[in-house]
Amino acid sequence: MLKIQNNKFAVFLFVFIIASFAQLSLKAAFGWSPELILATLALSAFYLSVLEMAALCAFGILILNWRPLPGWEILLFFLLPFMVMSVKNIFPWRGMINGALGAVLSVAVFYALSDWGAIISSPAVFAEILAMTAIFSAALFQILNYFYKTHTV
Amino acid sequence: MRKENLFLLFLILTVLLIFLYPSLGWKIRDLITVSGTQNPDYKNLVLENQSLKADLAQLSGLKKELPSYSGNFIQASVYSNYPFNFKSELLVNRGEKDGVKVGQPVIVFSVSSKPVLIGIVEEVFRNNSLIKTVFDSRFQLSVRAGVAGANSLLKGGSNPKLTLIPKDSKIENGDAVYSVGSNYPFGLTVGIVRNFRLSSDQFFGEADLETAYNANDLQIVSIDVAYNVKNPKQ
Repeated sequence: MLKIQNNKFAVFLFVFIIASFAQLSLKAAFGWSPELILATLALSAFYLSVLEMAALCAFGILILNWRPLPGWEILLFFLLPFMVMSVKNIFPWRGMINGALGAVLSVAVFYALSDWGAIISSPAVFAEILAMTAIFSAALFQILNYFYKTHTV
Repeated sequence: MRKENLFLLFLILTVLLIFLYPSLGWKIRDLITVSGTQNPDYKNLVLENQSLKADLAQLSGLKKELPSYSGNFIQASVYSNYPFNFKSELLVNRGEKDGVKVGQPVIVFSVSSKPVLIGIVEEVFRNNSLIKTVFDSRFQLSVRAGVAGANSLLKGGSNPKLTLIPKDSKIENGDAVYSVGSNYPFGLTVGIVRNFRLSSDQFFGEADLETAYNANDLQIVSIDVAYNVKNPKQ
């Protein structure tokens, strides 16, 4: 317990790798997946410092970037967890709901800005992605909250 | 060393790697991704079957007089792919220096070297190109299906669909689908028809497109660098 308390960043790095494995494998198998990676990064805004989160997001970009140089979408992916960090104190609800809302908002903003047309053409798939992302982030938030109490309860 | 300095060092190192050595990220991603479990021999046979059906449909149709398609193909290795939903892009190791241009068709070959269309070149860099596949929601292509050659519009996505099929068309499950779009080589196999049904407005028929490959499993593709794209913006 004490070790986990001292290594929040390592725990998030581990969760990030597991989430990446799950998301990329689900996408390979079914053609779509909940946004587990972005949800993990958005939740890190509730637990990590700015510098720790920046390091985690940069590692995320290193793994996920699929272009020779990072493009607009990957930049957005880097910035969204910081957006959550800056607005998290405005959320008035319990920690778990705030965490899920932060993750869902990040995913919604990400797709609204990067591929608006896809939301219009496949609203049902988009709704499923949001719903499953919300469930994942709420569960992850509760697990992490067992070890680290957040300030937004 | 203070904890903050360690994170700063980690951050700087990672940013440097992103810009100077992006392939390290692609390699790490390869390690944490499970590829498809389909047997490669089975996939080759399905590809072969689909392209033979497309040949049959083409030969039985009205376009018998057209020459068969033969391009100048270069092989390309797939480095990475789009990790989020709705789009399907592949980064390959061929670019401007190899003669790749936007809009050129990208294919995979069946065991008897018959080409199957998987997408088009979307963006070209000096040493790399981005391929937009049929699994991308922005992908659209005019196609024909079956021996009767029923016209249809292929709309890409995680489950590509054949839309605007005349509802009285004689299409059956398993019929081959081949390209007829003005920006694509005529008669390239795209896949086969599955689950033909009436659309929700009852005016047209629609069906699913079944492909013999998974875009996330592709490791080698071929680009027709001789293909002259009429309107690359389309």
